[in-house]
Amino acid sequence: MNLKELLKFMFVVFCAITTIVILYIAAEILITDSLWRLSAWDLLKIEFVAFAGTLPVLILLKRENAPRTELIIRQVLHFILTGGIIAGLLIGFGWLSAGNAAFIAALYICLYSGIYAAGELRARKLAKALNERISAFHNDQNETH
Amino acid sequence: MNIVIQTPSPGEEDSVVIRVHCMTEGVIRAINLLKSPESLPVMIGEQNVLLPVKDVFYAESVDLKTFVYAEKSVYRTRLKLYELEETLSHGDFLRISKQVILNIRKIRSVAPAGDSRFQATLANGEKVIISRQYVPALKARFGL
Repeated sequence: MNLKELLKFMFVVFCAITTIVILYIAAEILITDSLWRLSAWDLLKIEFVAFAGTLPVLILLKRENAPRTELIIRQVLHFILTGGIIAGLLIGFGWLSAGNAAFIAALYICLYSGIYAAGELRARKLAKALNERISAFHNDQNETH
Repeated sequence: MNIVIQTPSPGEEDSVVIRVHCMTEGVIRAINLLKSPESLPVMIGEQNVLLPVKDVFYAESVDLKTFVYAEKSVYRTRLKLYELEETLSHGDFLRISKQVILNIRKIRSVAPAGDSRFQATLANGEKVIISRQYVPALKARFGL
């Protein structure tokens, strides 16, 4: 991922974290029937969580020919840091209680691995389609010669 | 399609005239083939030699030097990678990363390499990485 792509990706991650945190807090308010409402200060704190949660994306900035093992290590580090930072801040702001931490952790793992798996699946499908075209291309060349 | 081959008069320049109602993919491919050079100037030691383009697997730029890879040998060329790209763009060559242009005839298969990149295995077993920003060009070249 080059710098331009990385900045685009950081923006997407920032928006995604903001949305997820807002949805989580909204659900928490609805479920617990709390009278607590979001203030402007809370919104700023949400944006701060999103910003801090976006920073680990910088780990994904890498050399063009980085080997697959390096990519996996970076991805795992990104997973741990993003989860750790968001969870830490949410607990710090009092929005995440220890009671539902396990559920949130499971949700985070499912969401993260789901996105990763979807990407891998798309890449495999594309590789299969490309290989079919490559075979057809070689067959055409052989017939021409 | 009729194919007419005529021998030009002595002293007359070789030329190809294409008379078609529409430019089909096949005609465009034929034009590209005619436009692409048949050989590339490479160096063996300090000696300049011509390497047939069909033998080139890929070309790579390393530390501002350009290397041309054939099946089992590597040659240095004085041409810059962008110059090679311009020269070979009419043929079967495609840029696959900032440093590499690849002869797509030499690709045996591709496989995902993580982070939306692909790894191409070449006819000689060598593997090269196709960067994510050049994947759309590869897809387009194979009509995807």
